[in-house]
Amino acid sequence: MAALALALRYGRTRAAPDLTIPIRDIFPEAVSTSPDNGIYHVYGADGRLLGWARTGSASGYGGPMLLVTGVDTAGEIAGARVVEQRETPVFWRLVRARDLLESISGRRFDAVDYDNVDAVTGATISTTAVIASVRASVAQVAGAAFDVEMPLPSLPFEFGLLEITVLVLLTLGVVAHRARGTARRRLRWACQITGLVVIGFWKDSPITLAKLTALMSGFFPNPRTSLALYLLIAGFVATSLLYRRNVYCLYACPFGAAQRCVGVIGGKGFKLPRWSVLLMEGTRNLIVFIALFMALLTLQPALASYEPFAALFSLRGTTLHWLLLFLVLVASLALRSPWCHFFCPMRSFERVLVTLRRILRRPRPVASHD
Amino acid sequence: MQIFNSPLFWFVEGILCCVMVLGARTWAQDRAIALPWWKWFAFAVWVLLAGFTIAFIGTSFGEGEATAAVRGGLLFGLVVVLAGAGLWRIWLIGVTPRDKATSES
Amino acid sequence: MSDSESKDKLSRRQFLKAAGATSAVAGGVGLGFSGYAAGKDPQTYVGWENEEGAGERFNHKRYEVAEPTYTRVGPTSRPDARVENIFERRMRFRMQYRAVQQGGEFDELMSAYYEAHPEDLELDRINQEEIMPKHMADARATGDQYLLAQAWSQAMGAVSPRESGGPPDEADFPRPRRGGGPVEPAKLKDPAKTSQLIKEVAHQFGSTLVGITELNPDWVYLHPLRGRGFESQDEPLEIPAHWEYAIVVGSPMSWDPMYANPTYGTSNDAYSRSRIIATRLAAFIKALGYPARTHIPGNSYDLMVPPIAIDAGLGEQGRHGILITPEVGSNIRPAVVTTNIPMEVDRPIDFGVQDFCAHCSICSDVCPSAAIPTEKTEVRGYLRYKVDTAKCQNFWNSNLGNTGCRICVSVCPYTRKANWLHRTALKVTANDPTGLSERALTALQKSFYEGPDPESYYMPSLGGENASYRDPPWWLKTEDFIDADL
Repeated sequence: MAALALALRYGRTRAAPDLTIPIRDIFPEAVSTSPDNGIYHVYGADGRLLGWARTGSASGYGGPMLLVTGVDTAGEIAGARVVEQRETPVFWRLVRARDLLESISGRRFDAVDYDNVDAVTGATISTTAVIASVRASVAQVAGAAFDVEMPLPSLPFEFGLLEITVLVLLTLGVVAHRARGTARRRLRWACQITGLVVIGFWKDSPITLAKLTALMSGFFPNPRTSLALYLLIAGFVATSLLYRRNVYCLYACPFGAAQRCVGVIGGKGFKLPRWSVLLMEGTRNLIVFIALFMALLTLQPALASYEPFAALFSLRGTTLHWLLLFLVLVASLALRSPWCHFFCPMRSFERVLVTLRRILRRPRPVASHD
Repeated sequence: MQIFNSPLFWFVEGILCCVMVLGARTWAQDRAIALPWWKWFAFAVWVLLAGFTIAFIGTSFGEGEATAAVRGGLLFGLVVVLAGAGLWRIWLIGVTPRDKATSES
Repeated sequence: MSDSESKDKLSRRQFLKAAGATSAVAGGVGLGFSGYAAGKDPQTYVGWENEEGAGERFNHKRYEVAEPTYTRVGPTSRPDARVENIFERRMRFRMQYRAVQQGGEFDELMSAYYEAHPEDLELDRINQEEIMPKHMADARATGDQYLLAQAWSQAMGAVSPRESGGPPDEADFPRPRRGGGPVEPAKLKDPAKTSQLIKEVAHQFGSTLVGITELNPDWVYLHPLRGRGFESQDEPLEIPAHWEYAIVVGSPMSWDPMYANPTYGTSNDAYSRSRIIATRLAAFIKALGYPARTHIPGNSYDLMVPPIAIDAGLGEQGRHGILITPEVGSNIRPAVVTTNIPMEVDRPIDFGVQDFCAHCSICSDVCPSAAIPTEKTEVRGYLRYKVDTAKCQNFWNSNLGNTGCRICVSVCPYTRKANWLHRTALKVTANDPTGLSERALTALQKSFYEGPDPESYYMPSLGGENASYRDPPWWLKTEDFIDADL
């Protein structure tokens, strides 16, 4: 835990960009800045306040881009600069971004028609992202410095079949958890098949280590568009703490369902001896730890995604993913849930939560349980 | 390599296929496994699937697309293995454990 | 039954089983080798497998439709090639730019165009001021690194018949026979037979594909290009009455260099073949007493070729704006002969490209210049994909080796060898109305046939690695043959 926290901390410090140059670029007279709640107050030589600057990120064509936007004391946009970008200097993109940023600078923040800035040049992924980022920064400054509330375009709340399915599966999971015997078995099959079809093949949106890493490193996806993810995680955490086994893994996880279906083809698999399961779980915890450590250190959630889910559900993956998928599903013919035992980060997290639960509860004599 | 594009190759391939079917039938008879048409149908589908996978891998290597050969081999190979396990179960339908025990003794 | 007999019988059964297992293994191994041979087979390089063309036949009849798969959505107009043709506009730009820099202005035509398309002015200016000088410096710095590729390109371009120059009313018509009067058109028995004849001779001239259509005037330039024999570019091009039909011929680029785009590829090989085919075909028609005019690549046209090829049933328009054919995918460099020899026309085909491109977008994702659109737009009254030619050409000009780029051609899932595997995929997508196969196949395509990132195609001075989509063929690797300071 401590190592992971350290990795995250190191990753964040390393990733923090130097803003003095772009801010000086926007406010040529700037001498010093002082950050306050994410907004940089920019001061001139005589200590006079020149304006405010704020960073905003946007997903461009080649990855995340970081922009800093400045607003002067008169409320005019002083300028905006791309601070960090993982895109190569491909002419048209830089030209587009430069032109766009120039076209809005010098205008009052509330006099810009943000929806149609790029109407002339034609919207592209990069330009739309750049504008959205500037707009968000300007809105922050407007709220903090001018006490003006600038409405941001709100994304439509996505609530469709996926979200409904997730809710239903989690509820049914809790119901089934309290049931016994045939009813429980039938319910579990129904839930898993639904999960396989909807969360798996149709939407390809199981919980992944990459998504969790992104959350851990402070990047929260918009709940309006990622409601299903938050619901799944909430269900996972809550039931892990309550029941010691979580309903996500047992009832909603599409990959678990795929393994179980393959197990049916394989027939009665054999149970592994206890010592080998323990060994497997230890190995798994190590794998998960290393993946998390690397991802947090570099702040690149993609590094942690070793799960072959996308290979199965969307036919996307590297050779390693395909190999893992092949091995795990072939192993599923004879073993029970090899992915969960060998590789799955969710099982490790579940164990961590269960341990947490044990610590939280006041100690009492351990009763024998299942 | 030219031989593999020739009619002779496909003639030999046809003979091999027939021998394979004969072998499978002998094997099944020895184990007292009844073979209705649908078991043969499943067998044929599986053979086609396996043949496709092998040919896909070969063709992709021939095209110089090694990545396609490996990834495609893994994906289609997975399907073949799983379908093979399914085929095994289908062929053993109707065989009671006693039958199995006697035929194996 | 004696003991030995039963033992014989047993061993016979054992033999049968063993033979069956061995046969299965041997058959499998054989299939693998057969696949390997199929993958390697040079015969699957359509258009290069022999010199008479038409080596590969695709049943166009089965996919014929009444209307082409682009749609008309509004009033149509003809393109003004003087500013909309990238080569023509950039030539004008070069000629006028120095004066503009010294305080002058672009002429009326160019000013009006840039007024309407400010982004093109920026891109044209960047090309002139930044990219071309950078390209020159890079070309000097890399020296002879791509000598073989360039030599191959120049050699292929060395045989190149002249374009049809001269006013159509004179140049298109057969010359009077020596000492005789005007040539009388031959009396043809039947338009359908004439079509057959024309197609067969086009194949004999080396054309891989041939199609015939009535010429839609919307595809003819509003003003003629330079050197086409018209009096003035300022006068509108009046479409001559004898441009009644358009015959589309074409030849693919050599496949291995094409896959090694952008640095090693060239258009010159296919250009040269197409020019020869079209020129021979025009000569053939003229010899029968009918007028004929060639419209040939690189830039000797009075019309736009891809839509005519679509009308003639050669294929459909892809997301990358160019033609996709069932036989050679996008690897085709067509030419057109306009004539009035009476012929039966072909019908356009629909083999599922529109649905496929709607799901696929591989070309748009990997295009280094991001010139390939995500959506169709209305262009002069037609709803279609429109490539941003200015962005596209800026990447060409930034490139090393043979300047140019054909990445969208080489990454297109339709541009594949004509072996059992890709032909099956083609037939499946062409006949699947659900669109499921398209989704699955494009997903597999992206996963199995990876290429470099769009950025790495750029030359190193622009942050790239000068990557190629696939390795160049051995005979284009300069470093293996020439002892030069590379």
